[in-house]
Amino acid sequence: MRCLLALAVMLIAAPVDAADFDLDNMVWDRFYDQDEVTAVLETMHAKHPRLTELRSLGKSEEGRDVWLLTVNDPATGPHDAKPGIYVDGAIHGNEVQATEVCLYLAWLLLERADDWERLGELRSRTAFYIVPTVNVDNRARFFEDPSSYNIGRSARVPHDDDGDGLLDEDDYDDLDGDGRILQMRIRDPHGTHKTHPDDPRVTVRVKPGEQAEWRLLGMEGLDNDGDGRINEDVPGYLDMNRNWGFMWQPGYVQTGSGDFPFSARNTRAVSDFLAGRTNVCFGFNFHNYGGMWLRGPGSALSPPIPVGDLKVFDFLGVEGERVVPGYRYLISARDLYTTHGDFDEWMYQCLGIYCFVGELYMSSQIAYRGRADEPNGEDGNLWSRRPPLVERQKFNDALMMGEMFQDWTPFTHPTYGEIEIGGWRTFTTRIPPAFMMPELLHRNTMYVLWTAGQAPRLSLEVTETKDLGDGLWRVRARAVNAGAIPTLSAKIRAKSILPLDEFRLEGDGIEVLSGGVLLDRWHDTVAPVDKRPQRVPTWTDGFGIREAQWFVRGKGEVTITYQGHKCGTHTVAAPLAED
Amino acid sequence: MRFTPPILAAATTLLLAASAIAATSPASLYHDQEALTTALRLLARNNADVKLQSLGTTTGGRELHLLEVAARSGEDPAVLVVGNPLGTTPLATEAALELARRLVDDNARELTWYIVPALDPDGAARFFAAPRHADGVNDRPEDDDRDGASGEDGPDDLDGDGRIASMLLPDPEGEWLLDDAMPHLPRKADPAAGEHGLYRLLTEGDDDDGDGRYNEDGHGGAIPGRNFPHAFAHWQSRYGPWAASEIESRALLEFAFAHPEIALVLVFGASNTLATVPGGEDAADPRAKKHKPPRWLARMAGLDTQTEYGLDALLDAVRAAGGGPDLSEDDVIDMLNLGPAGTPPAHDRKWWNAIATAYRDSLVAAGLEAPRVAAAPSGSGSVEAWAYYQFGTPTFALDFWSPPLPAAPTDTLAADAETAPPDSSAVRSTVAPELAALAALGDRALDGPGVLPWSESTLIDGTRVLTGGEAPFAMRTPPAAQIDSLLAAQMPLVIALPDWLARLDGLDAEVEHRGGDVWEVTARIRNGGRLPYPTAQGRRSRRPRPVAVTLEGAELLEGRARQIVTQVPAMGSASVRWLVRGEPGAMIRVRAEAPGFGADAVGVALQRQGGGR
Repeated sequence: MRCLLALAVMLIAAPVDAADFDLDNMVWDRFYDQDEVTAVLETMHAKHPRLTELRSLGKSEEGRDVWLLTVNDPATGPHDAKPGIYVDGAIHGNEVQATEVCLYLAWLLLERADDWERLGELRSRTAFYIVPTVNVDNRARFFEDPSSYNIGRSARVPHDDDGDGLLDEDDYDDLDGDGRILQMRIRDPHGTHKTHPDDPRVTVRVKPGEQAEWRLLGMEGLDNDGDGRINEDVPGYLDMNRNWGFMWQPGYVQTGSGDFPFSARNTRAVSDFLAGRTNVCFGFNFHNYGGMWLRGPGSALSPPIPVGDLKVFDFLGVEGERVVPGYRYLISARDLYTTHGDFDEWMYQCLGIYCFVGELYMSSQIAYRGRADEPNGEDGNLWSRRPPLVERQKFNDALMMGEMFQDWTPFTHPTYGEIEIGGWRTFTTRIPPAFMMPELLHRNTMYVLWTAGQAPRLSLEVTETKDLGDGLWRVRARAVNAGAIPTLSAKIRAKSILPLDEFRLEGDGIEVLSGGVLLDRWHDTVAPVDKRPQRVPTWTDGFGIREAQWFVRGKGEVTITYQGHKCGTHTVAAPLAED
Repeated sequence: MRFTPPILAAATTLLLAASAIAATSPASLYHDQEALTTALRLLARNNADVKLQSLGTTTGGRELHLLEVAARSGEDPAVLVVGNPLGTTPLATEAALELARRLVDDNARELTWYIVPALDPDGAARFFAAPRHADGVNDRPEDDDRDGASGEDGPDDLDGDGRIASMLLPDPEGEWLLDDAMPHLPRKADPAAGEHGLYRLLTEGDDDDGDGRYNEDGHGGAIPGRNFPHAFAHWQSRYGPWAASEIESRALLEFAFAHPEIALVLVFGASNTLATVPGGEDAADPRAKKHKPPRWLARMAGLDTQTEYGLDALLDAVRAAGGGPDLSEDDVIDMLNLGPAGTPPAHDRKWWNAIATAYRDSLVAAGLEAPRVAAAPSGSGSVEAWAYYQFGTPTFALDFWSPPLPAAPTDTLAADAETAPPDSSAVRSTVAPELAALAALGDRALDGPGVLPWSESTLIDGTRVLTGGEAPFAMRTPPAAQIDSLLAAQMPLVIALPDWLARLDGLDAEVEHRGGDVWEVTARIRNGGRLPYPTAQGRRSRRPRPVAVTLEGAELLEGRARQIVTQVPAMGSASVRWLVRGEPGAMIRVRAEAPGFGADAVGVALQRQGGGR
């Protein structure tokens, strides 16, 4: 029934007029629903047609477009000739503010880069691929349907969650029709909870022997299928962040992984795009909750990361902890839990692209605390660092006039009789109050931009043309990478995921006798190539150099090129002329 | 030691005219894609309950055919048959076609059969191509050697015999030599016996792109039968970048998951999981080990993360911590993050072994018991491993021919074996037994000799090489003249396999009067098959749908209107119970169904002498 209602809402919702958004005066202390996200992107593209490309990577299960906004300055070359940064958000539909991070990134690049010199320079040498919302269906429904901060993580792919042979037959129900799915509790002296003495809104677990007042009944809903359970088979469950192709595991190993890798439409659409974008050197996958920059391995099945790449991750991760205070740079499997088939593992292990999962926002930011105050009461777990519930209510009262919490209200439930419905409202808990959004957006986006600044940035010079007599020359060249990110990750090199970069020496009438990587320029140590010596396959480390050497015969000019998938093409020329 | 090119000596003793494959070769009795299409269309046109569907089109532009041979009656389970997933076993496609023909002629057909005769038509086409080349990759362009170009250095038919076979490239660093006693068979040199290698053994072909490597970037692509998501091997050339990356594998996966009635999967190819049942007593079995619980599980069940617990202790702890008595060992295994199953659960191996025994008995009865070259292991990313471990159905891979093993070892080997002490360093490396078996067929292998005589060719750079060795496809493909008799003898075994399946073989409802208008109703579901529904792995995979039992016609006091039975034992039964309230004489109706198991319904009156139908 809820589905039909939502469909009706979808059908009658008029598209937002692109002209509604004034990019010069964009408001960031609010959340944008999916129609608005589309409109913002269309506005950006309409205003900056030269700098942007807007296209749909595909349609979701419910027919919504998965938008890709490419930001690139064509004056400095096509996007695929520059290092690329991929950023997406809201692969879990309820992790909504990840989409705003993507929009804010695009907005900074389009609206501020003409004024901020360093941003303009970064934009000129980098391609940005931005997919603001991966889970377009459930992010749209998060705004349109009765919802809650924990509802809508899945793709809209039907699934038998409770093993009864039926699909999605017992959804939540907005019993009181207030547009929210909240908690249910029933008065029960033999229950498990009581009202907190300091705040009547807070329900806490009783200590052993204490008199109970309440029993919690879970989220608002009915036993729609009459199996004796409530909300046990809600729409979906295909977790799009378990549906990617690296060491994907079936449902009995990894819940929510889908029938097979890329069985969801949106993961497939994004993967088809990324698999062909070999210039991408870094990816960000924004989620909400916890304040973390996460990298793989995601499970013990995943092979260890080569030490060369660990150095890169560590260098970048530590900076991320500083740009966004409170965030921690963590390893998924070791510091959180085991997962299989995540996006970031696929990016790194299959494509060799460095990737962080950005877990936006920490509950610890919900602070109502003086310098002498000690946090009191029950604490949260590792990744939420949740403040005590009473402190959250004080924050709610002091900073939001109580708007974050729905007071407990009596309701007559067909199964339970007299109950109460209430709890934290939809845009809370995993989502910050809107007034905190501008700083969240700015800090996280600035870290993306700092990382983009660490993309391979190559310069090339001829370091020597030495006349050895009789038309024989020794030619040396050096590539210098000013970015922290290598031109090819150790993963790419170890697993031959992409061709190596190439030093190339060419020139009319020039015969190349030998060529190779110059390992030690003082001792003339060379790793020669076996065949085709004019081409020297190689790569250049982050903050590193790479030198090549050739013996050639002839005269005139030689052209030396360094070409790679993730660092563009660089060419220098030098004369072979006797002094 | 100075390297002396052995090419001339070898060539003078071995050079025989390589016979090119004649255009009228008997191989034309194998169905190429066009002939297969025609045959399938004919079957569909002439039979109302046979439908030809397309699962898609390969990169090479070939249709992925699926022939549906419908059951003569209602909602019965279905069998999925997948032919030639590796592209290098044309006999498998013949078997699938022959199976379809026999099924069409069977008027008592109880099951629906979905038959994909060729899962890899691009790879399969190379059997019929000139030159013939046993390489199962599809036609998707792939830069195998990561040099920026695709397909620039494939194999070449250097000797012009119409076949891509092997090449011996003289190389002082090579490991291979030709056996003195069997000079047509290459083997590795044994340094302990004072031998040194003379050649590198490569696929026949030149270094077309001059990069110093031979045949390193030929056709496509990926082998569809290596691209399925159980034990998929990452970063393997020719297996695809990730599981389900290929048109062919994805099409089959989509079809299977859209057809929950599939209860059995048969894979015709190079493997045979009835000749060799996977796993074994010594295989890594999580039940036989102790485990440290992950943090969350330890917290939940009051365990210590640094202590190793046996599975029974873990099960007790998790049950006591609120998991409930229904929690199974498999559920706990899932909680331990051990990853996917590696061997069939012990319970499944029981019926698997029973079927394997019956299969071997049938081979004896068919006169096919002579030892032959072993079928290939299933390997990574296979269709059969996916179907059993993830799709959760009983699954068997079958091959239908390989060269007979010679009755006794060849003279040379026998002499060595008899005279040399077992631990002597004089025991030297030997020719691979399967190659010896193929050689023993002489000219009676596929289209002539199974091991081609070595002949001399010259590469672009002037290097003289020997080409010959194992003929493409010959190890898994009999001469076409044998197809009919081989399949006639073995097809009855295939058609009999579904007899083992679990099937809903009756539903009884009993009524017991509990006083007044209150009645206890017990429905009993019988499984008439020798396999449980689902199998142990099927239950663990959670893919096969459960048996749903519904009751209508009375007010329920206890029990749900729709109850779930998670497993029905082989040749056994499971029951569900309700307490209902109704007027004496009122009729209630009980129905049980699961796709892949069957459906049945029974009506019963609420009366004292409650009984069956």
